[in-house]
Amino acid sequence: MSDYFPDEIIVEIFSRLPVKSLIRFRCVTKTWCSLISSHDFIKMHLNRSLSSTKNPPFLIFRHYDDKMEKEWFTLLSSNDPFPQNHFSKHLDCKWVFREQNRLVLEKQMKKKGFFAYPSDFKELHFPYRSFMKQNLYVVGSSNGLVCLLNDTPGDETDLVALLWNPSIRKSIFLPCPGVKFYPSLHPMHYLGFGYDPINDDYKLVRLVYLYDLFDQYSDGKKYFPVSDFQIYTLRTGAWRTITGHSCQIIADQSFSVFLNGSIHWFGHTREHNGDFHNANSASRNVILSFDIGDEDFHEMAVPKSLEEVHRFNMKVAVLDGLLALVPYRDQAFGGFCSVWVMKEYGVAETWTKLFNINFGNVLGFTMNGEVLVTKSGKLRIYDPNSQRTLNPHIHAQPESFYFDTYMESLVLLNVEDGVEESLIPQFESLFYGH
Amino acid sequence: MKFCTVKQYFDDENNNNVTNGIATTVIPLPNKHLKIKANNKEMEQYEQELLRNVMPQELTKLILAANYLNFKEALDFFCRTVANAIQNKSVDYVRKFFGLESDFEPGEEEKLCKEFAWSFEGVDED
Repeated sequence: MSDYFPDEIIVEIFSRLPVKSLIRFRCVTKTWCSLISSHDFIKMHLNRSLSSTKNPPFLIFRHYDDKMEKEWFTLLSSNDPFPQNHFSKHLDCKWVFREQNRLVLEKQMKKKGFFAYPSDFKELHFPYRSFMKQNLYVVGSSNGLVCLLNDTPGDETDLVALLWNPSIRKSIFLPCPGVKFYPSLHPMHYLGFGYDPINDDYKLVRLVYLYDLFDQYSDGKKYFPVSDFQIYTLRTGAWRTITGHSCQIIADQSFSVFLNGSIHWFGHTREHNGDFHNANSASRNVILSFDIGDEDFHEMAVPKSLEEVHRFNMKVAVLDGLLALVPYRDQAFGGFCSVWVMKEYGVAETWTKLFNINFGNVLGFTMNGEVLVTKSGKLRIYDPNSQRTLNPHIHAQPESFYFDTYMESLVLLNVEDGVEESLIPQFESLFYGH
Repeated sequence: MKFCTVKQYFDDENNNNVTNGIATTVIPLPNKHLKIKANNKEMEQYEQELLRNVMPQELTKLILAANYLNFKEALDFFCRTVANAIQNKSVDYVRKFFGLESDFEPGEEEKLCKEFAWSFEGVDED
């Protein structure tokens, strides 16, 4: 390794280096290359990053900018993602003599949007832009890995997923689960992604809901869960089907959060009172949680006052490391919502309402207590303490937004991606042309 | 605990790596740490000073001494200092710093560098 330094010291130094430097230093010697790419070192580097900072340093933000007609993945500061002085930094002050001119110029800049001015964000290079353009869905992210799905309406019977580490610019396609459903049953996939620390593995779980053909007489579309579910693990590089699981909880939407080793979806119980058509009115709102280590489902209670409430659109979230619930009611001019947190994880009595937002829905939270809110298709930053709202000037469709905390890592560096890509030859032409 | 190890270190005559100079730098560290723990800026300045006054080979000896003495805070400090010093440097600089030579097959290194060309952007000039 080196005449001067023993190996343990080299490793100590490496574990304190940023990801970009480590990738470059793989070119120093063959030994360094194998060391940096080794599973043990990747894990050591990750553990050091996780333990050294209290909060994740970044927010990963995805949006489709309709002015620039461009798909963006960016890293923003987790404390202050859209700084107030962003635009003024790019004003060439020599030519701005009067305050009036300055304001006019700033107004023009804001029309172009936040991302037209290169500062305060780092653009990530997403490898399969043309492939994923139409129906990109971000399942979740963990330890620097982002899990994405190509939600093609054309082929509802299978799913194409991608694991991507933007900090090392590496991605792998997952093989298809291979479990298909009849198109007439309109299968809906609900996914969750997370890290299993016990087995040191990354897992993607897929729940499938099928349209209930026998319940055509009820008001809304009725779905029932398939009793099998599929789980993919990075270590095996393959999907597994877990059969015979009977889940009495129906997840309401695919959106999930990963926290404390479990994936959480908002859902409701299937109450069978003998009267199949009235099943909905008897069901309770609950949170469906999937323990990624045990690979087992559990039920978590929502706040008592929200248990029987069915007219709100509810979503799980994570605020300051706590599980949060955001019930939202849509209305003509933005709608309103409230933010609840479970102060002690797993203890239903500790659900506490923190604040209300009377002009929009919550998209996410920054590390310094601000809320990212969507209001009538626009993004706003809301400070619940001062009740001030700021406009970050992002021009995009709210359906395209994805926010999560992010930290850089070397995960995926030692995974060979050749095999996975060759399993889906029909998509080759799509992504090689980007 | 720390005093015993230090005494043992000096008593151990087989250990030629410790010089008085190193002893005066490594050992006062815990006091320095305690005094300036709260002030990050001062630590940065101390770090810069240390880098200026100490050649890589000396730094090596400091690290080895701290490692032998099982002196965790000093080891952490020195490793962090080295990491900060080299993080934005080129492959050649790092080779010189650690006294290494490339052992790649011809063309292998080029291939690797090309594949990860983005990691070479914005690197300090040598």
